Amino acid sequence: MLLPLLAAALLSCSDQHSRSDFAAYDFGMPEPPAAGSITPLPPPPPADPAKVRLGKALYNDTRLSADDSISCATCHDLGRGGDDGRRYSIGVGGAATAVNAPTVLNSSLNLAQFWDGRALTLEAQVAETVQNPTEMGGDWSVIERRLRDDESMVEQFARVYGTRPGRDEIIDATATYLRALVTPDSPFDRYLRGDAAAIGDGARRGYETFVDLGCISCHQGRNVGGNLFQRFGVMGDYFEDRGSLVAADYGRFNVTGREQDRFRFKVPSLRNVAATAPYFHDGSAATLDEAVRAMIRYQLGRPADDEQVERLGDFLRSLSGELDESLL
Amino acid sequence: MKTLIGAVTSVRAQILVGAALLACLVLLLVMSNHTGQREFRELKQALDELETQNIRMDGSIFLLAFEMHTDFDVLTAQQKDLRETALALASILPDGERAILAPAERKLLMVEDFKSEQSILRNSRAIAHEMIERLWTGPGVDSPATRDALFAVERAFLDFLARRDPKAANRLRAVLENPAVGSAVTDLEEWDVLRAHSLNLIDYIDRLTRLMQSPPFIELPVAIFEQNARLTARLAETSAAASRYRSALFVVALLLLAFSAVMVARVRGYLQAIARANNDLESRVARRTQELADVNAALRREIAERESVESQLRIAQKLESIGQLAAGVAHEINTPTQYVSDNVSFLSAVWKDLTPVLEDYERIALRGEADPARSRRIWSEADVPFLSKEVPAALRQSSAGLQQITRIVLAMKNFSHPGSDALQPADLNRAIESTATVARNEWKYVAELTLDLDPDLPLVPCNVSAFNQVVLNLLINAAQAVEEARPKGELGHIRVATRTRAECVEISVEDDGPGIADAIRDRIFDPFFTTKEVGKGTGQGLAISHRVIHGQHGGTLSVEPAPQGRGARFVIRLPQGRLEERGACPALTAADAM
Ligand code: HEC
Ligand code: HEC
Repeated sequence: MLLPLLAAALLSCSDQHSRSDFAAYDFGMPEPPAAGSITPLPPPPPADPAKVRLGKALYNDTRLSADDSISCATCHDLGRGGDDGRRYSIGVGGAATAVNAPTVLNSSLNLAQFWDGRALTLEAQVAETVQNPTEMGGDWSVIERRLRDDESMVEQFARVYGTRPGRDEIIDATATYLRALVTPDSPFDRYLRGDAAAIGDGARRGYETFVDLGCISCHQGRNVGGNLFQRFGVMGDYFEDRGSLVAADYGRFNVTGREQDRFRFKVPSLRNVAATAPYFHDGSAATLDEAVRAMIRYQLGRPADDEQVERLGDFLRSLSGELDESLL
Repeated sequence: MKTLIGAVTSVRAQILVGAALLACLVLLLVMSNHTGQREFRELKQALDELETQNIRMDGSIFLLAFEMHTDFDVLTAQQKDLRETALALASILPDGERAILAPAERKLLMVEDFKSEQSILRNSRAIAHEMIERLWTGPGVDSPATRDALFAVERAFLDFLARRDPKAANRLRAVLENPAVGSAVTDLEEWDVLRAHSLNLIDYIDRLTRLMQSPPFIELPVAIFEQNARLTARLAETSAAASRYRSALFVVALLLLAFSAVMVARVRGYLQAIARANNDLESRVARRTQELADVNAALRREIAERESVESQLRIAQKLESIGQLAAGVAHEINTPTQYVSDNVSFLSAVWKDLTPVLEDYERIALRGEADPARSRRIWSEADVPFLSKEVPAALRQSSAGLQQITRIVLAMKNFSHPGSDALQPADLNRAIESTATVARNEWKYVAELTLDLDPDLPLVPCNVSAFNQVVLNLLINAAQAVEEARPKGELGHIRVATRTRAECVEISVEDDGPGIADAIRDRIFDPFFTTKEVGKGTGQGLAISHRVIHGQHGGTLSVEPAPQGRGARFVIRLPQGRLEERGACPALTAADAM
């Protein structure tokens, strides 16, 4: 009775032994779920259009900086993916920022703001950025005075808030604008909603690779990231290899002071990532290709071939969405 | 003063002053009665909300840990909500920063850690597994030494994943660090990756386990519970203060009335008599009102105390039943895991035993080197007849074991389905099956469970997770009752049946335990009533079940005479159809039920 079975087993593995011994593990085992999932971006929250317009004006207003030289848009240019394409940004008086500027697009969907998550809300983020000496170095009383001298500003604030321009209203309007900066309808989102032709073959296989290699267990959810903190250098010492450690490299440790948070950063959203080179908190990866290879080496510690890297690039490029024109 | 009194000499003015005074008094009374309470209700609502949010968050962690949820968005949103509620509480609760916000922040940090650890763990497990796959298809597996090494590694790896205990971890570490194993493996890159990820996995599983057992996990519910208790005590205090305040108001009122009476007496003789009569009446009314207020305050104090104890017990019960279930499920999963694991070890040994037979066959069939004597020896050494009997059996048993595990996990998923409080059409038969599976450990040693489910049962509006709790409760009660009554070594009987009736569906849970004495039949749905020994139950189960079925579902939960005249029979009746238009669904009388 056993002989035919044995013969079959033998024929199938006479030149290459397979693991028929462990086949028992396949019996009745449920398929393991994919390690994560990506969902389409939700539409931006409803907001008063006049307030969004005011926020947009403030976002582009250099009067928010100490010497009236730069605005939010200087470092977060919506025409180039919501950042400035530099490794470190240049603030008032030529000071360089300690970390790479992340994009503002979809940032309202992140669990917290900044690489180390030190601001829990966009309001806290705006309040800090305007005053930060290496960014805008602004002084609220000076900013309020400047805006109150401007008739059209006074009129807009009166219409939206019924008050004169003030710190809290400036912050509120800017944060409202930031919340509107959502980029729905990327090719990949259309694909997720059932339009099979929205992405090409490369991107589709790139997505499979993204799941198979394990990228998805950190970069997942609606923002393809942005919902957890994770160590940079899980499977290899990134900082040792890069050298010259600075305070900003300690990441979330600088906020919580807990040892386990050393070198942990907010996992960045990969939406629109194709447009936001250079990459990482230190801007060390100049191209998407380099960034992907670093991820494979330091976060996954596993082999991967050039073709896989290329396909991952195709997939990541399909994550770029559209911003409503009225917001630009 | 003189001029004032002089100014109010007209009757109209006096009446106006009197009316205004009375209006003021009433207003003050109402306010002193209500302000404290409203604030109390607000705080209590926020605390309850925080408690619910915390439980939901734990539910998500559970689902993620068991990999039934696959992204962190839901959990992240729940963290945000919980932080907001905690912040709001901190601003309205005296000492809220320390008592609520701090434990909430610690818990949120813990949840962040959980997400980081959990995502790395998944990857290391998947990558290590993938490397094992690759090694099995690599060029070196032709050599028996390599195959042996891979057997040893994979067995230790799977065994560790199944057991997740320090012993299995040590065995895996020993295999990975065994130089003989290392040198037998030829694909060095895969081997290094496999080793790194397996060691990583041991670390992370250990860390994750410790994280899930760390104090911040339960510190928050305990803090919420303490605040609830304090709040209740404070309410009692404020209502005492309010009643003192009211007494003062009455004294003032009496003085004012007296004053106006004196004044009136001085101005008009005939008004004097009326004023006195009036004064008398007012003071009687005031005394009476004062008495009423005192009784009221006492009642409120009593209610507050009762609520505090009740909420303590509710939490205690929730923790108790979650703990029990978790232990039960772990046990249920462990047993099949153990024998699947043993079978796999057995099967690997079998493969080793069979290898000579196959090699012999290869020599005969493919190379034509027949040698009957050799074949006979090999055949009998391998004891093929024995193996051909045992191997299918082992496979069958493993397959059954794995199906069992799958079933339990699915049942757990159904059971813990994080629902809203809304009633939605639900398949009660399925809910009952899941609950019976989840609670298997509670009944299987004491009773045989029969499910007699009406296949045509319609969907009824129901909050499944609350309903599951009720059925679970009844099942556990039945199991405990049967345990008391059954003779040693014999199993009792529990029967759960569903039936479709005219206006409603009926779910009955019967046991053949000692039954319920007539003397206590009326009291078993009272909160705090219990017949169990101290420590065995809080006595809240039936009361809460009663509230869930009557309050939330508009159904009935009743005890009815058992059909065989022995044991207890609990019957739940839930109305069919929409909430607004459903008919009454009264408990049957004893006569109808026969
Ligand atoms: C000098 C350049 C510069 C200017 C001007 C600037 N930012 Fe930034 N922005 C940065 C840098 C650098 C970071 C990262 C800082 C960190 O993580 O510690 C950042 C971070 C942010 C983030 C967090 C994004 C995320 O996902 O974590 C937001 C949102 C943001 N900026 C919005 C603004 C707004 C709004 C303004 C105007 C009020 C502004 N920025 C002005 C450089 C700038
Ligand atoms: C263990 C978690 C983890 C895994 C797995 C992971 N990443 Fe990342 N990823 C991160 C973190 C953390 C950062 C931010 C690092 C930093 O800048 O300090 C990041 C940054 C990136 C960036 C740069 C984004 C930017 O705006 O700077 C890209 C691109 C990226 N990851 C792609 C991938 C790809 C592709 C994979 C799979 C091959 C992957 N990641 C796997 C955690 C992870």
